[in-house]
Amino acid sequence: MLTKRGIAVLNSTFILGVLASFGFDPLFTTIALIVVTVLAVETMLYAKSLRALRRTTASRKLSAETAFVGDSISVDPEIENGSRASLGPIVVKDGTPQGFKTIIPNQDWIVSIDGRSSHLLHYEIEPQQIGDWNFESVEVTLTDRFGIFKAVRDVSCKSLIKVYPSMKKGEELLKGRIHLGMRPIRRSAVTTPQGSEFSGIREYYPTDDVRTIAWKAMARSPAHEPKTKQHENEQAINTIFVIGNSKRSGEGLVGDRKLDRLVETAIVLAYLSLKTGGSFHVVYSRNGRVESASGRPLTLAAKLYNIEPDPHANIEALVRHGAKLASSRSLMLAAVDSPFPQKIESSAYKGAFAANHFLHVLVLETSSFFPIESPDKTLALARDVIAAREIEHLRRLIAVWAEDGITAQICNRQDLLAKALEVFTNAGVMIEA
Amino acid sequence: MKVSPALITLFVAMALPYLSLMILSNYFGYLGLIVNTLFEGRLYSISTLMAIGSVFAYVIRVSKGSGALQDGLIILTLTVPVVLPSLLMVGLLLSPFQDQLPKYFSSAADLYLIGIASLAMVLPLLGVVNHASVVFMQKGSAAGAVLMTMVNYGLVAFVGLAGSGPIPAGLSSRALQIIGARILVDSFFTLQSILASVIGIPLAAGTPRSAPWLASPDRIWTATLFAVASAVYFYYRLYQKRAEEEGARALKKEGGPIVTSLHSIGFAIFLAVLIDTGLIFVILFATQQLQIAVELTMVLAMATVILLGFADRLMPWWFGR
Repeated sequence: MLTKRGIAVLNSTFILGVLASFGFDPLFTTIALIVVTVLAVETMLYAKSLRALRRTTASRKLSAETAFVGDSISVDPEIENGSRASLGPIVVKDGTPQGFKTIIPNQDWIVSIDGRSSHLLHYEIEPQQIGDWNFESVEVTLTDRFGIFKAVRDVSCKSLIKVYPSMKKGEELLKGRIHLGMRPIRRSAVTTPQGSEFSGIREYYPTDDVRTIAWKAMARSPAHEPKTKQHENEQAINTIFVIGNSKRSGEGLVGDRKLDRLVETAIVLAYLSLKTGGSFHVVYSRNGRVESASGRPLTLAAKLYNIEPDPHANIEALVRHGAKLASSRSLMLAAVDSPFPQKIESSAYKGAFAANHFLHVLVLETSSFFPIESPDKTLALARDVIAAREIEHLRRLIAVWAEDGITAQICNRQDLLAKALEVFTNAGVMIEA
Repeated sequence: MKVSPALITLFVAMALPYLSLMILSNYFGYLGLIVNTLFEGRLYSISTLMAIGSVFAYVIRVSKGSGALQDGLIILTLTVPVVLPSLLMVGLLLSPFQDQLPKYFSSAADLYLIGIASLAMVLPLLGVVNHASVVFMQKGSAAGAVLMTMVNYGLVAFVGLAGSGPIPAGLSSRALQIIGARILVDSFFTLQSILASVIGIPLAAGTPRSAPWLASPDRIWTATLFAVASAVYFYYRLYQKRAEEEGARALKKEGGPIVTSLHSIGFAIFLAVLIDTGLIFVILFATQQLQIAVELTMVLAMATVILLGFADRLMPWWFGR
């Protein structure tokens, strides 16, 4: 196919030829002739390469079949010229899925691939978004040296890679939280040392077990009055995290969608639960069916990495299913989105109350998932108007829920995790209240 | 502006036909006439000053880009040599010195001729500046740079032809007047010859002046170098630039795609020359006319480009798509 550049080159060469022909000096005619013939020769070579393009095949090697967000992966596509004629010049561009950032460019200009030989292209990518990703094909663009003609062929070459959510953030956050002593537990004062922690010494009551008497404290006291060692019973709180992966949960930038943030939150909460001892369950929807996952963070990551927006997701069904997964008085965190003008009725959460769980809803503010950084003031103004409208809509929704005793808060792209952690670590206090 | 030694070499090779013609036709001697006239300190020195100034104005225009000042300078310096006599005439008409007008007419003719001659003589220099900017800044089309050589060559030949007749010794301004007059006559003759060939009427008697330097044997070498440089420039301009746009990694590793495929570029140029020679000989043998043989070969080459270019659309079965 003739390119725009090609049309310009041919036009100007044609004018050169005409002027040279009608000019006053025959030498210029010869020069114009050579230039035109060089174009003709290149065109013939291009036409010859076109046949080789038909027999071109491709294969690809990935340094890993599974990776975590933020890892570095080497990709080595290999272009094989199956014909005897040489192929080139070509521009090879690997069809890298959109969930990856290319660290080393995924395309190259190759001068020529000799007949019955191959060319290896090396590049590196960084996964940015969770999911199953398919590398479908390699785009081979055959051109002539002058860029006058162009023929594009997608050479089929399939590779699959699984991208799991990053675990690093969970580990880092986990250390910080535990260090501060913020743990999601219910405390009750007991005097039985089994399964509890020492919390202090109090006065002795006649009914106290003599084995709990603090002898040393008694000896140090002026009147040698008996003292009793007191223990606190820590009961870890079970957590159910409901991911409302509605049809609009896929909104947002690559690697920064609502779903990406929700899965990241789930993984971090899983880490915290692992350390504190409480059970942790994640409930989500897949193809209209309610599914749940629990276990260690890595197990969860392997189950949640390919979660997708589900148009048939039903919050009520998710909450109802999740409520059955843990004993009563557990924490149920429901992360949902309800962009204007969608509404979620209070009745959707009745399953949590029926099971006597403490429910807290995190509502995602959709506009925050579309950051617009532009110097254009009109665009910034439009963004602010949309964001204000969205927040107002969510506030009204939360106010309606509050009338039915549902606690909820608006979360944006940046503070979702922080707010979820805040609810999680203060769950013990809130449940007692 | 990225000026590499390779690009400078290409530019010199492409400019060689008119650079050598400048020497052969005594072009620099004519430029000396302009400078000498400038120092004569007469009214027409303003015209020569503006003509020289136009070269500097154009250099500024090219290096700094377009702008009100740059464009104004170009317009001023290029129009004053021709418009100055008319302006003076209007000024005299409006002034209380109207009775001096008949005396001015004789000197106005000289002013016109010197202005025209100065302007015509600096035009090749403007062409060189433009050619250099086209090559170094990679502006316009690749063929445009080749075309510029032809234009500059024509301008130098035009000036050389005007100055090739006998010129009386003495004042430089007198010599400029004579050359100016010849330029006018030659312009009319060129126009006449073009019209005659278009309409198909017989041409009147031609210019009696001869230009032996046009038939100099050196031109074969300069023209050959120009031909090769033009072909290589095509590769440099289109191939290298396109590869740069596509982010060719060979550019970083091995000095660019032209270097890596130098053998195949050489083969393409060699094949082109071979095809030309073969075709020219075949057609020459059939028609016995060299001009027709060369022109027919060019038409065939153009037809090949167009036909093969559309072939992948016209014959999908052949390419399997």
